[in-house]
Amino acid sequence: MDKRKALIVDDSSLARMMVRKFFSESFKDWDLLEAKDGDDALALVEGQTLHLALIDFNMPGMNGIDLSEKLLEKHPDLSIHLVTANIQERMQLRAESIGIGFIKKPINQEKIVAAMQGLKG
Amino acid sequence: MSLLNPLELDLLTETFNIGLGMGSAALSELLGEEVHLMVPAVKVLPKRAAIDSCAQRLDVQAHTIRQEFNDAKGATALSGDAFLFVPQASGQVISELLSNSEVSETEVLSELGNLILHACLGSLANIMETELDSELPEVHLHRTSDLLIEIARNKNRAKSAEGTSTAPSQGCRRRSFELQDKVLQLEVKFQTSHKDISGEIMLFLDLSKLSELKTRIQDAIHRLTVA
Repeated sequence: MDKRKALIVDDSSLARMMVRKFFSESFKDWDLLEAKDGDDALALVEGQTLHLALIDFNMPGMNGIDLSEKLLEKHPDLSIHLVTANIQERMQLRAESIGIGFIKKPINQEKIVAAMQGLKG
Repeated sequence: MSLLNPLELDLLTETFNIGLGMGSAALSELLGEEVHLMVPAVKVLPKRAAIDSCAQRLDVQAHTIRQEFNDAKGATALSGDAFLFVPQASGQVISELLSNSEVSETEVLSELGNLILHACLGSLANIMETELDSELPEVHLHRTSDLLIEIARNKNRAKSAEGTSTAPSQGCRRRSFELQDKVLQLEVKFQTSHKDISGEIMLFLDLSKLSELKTRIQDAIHRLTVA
């Protein structure tokens, strides 16, 4: 069976390394793609079938909400979660309004498991 | 010895980020407004250059809330100052929003500083698995860069007094003063959606005990990233 694919987008290489650690420990049936910003992410996912995206909000250039909207245009079944230290209620409402999930930083294994349980399709 | 490498800087920035997230959520609830945080900037530079760059950016009439901190357990060599800079006009808006005539602008700003700066310092303490001692926030109305210079001078005098009392070798003393001159500066600007409130949060992390600090940062990185 083909591996499912997840995307992590974060300008912090440390944050990406942490997610990579969780995937290598506990989600061996997944491939993890990594991007450092919105433009990088959009180029990376061209032609790919993705199942899960974990996206930082506060990045140089495009923010995570804008990136999520662009990704959903091309991948409407993609399960996207905003992963952010910005835990204001309004931010959570904005995420909900475009149909994406919300994960408070710091991310951990339990939060990724919870995100996977809500996978579309 | 090299100063902090990109991954070490990244850890400190992410930690600052997480603290900012909590602090801005508290601020947002207090003000009834969304708080927009810009992308944080991190630099290692001579303290004098850091202060000079602040002087160019900050309005001399802005208010400064300062929170000095140091490692209570003495294990991580974390010490420095956290600052919240609030333009005079924003200070007035915040004060009008939050206080009645019985609470002064100074008290309001002190509480604001308490919320935001403690969130940042709390995050730093958590990630480094230590406890940070911090003083009560000091509020300095209409003072920014001159205050930073005064703080730096006072700290240098205190360090000089320590150096002469222990009488290290000449070469050793020169090296430690050179490192003391460098500081890690983490800064982020913020503003609210509608009400005219903006400000800047800045952390100066002392790099005088660099090897201890690097060891603890590397320990934290290993804990967080190695399977």
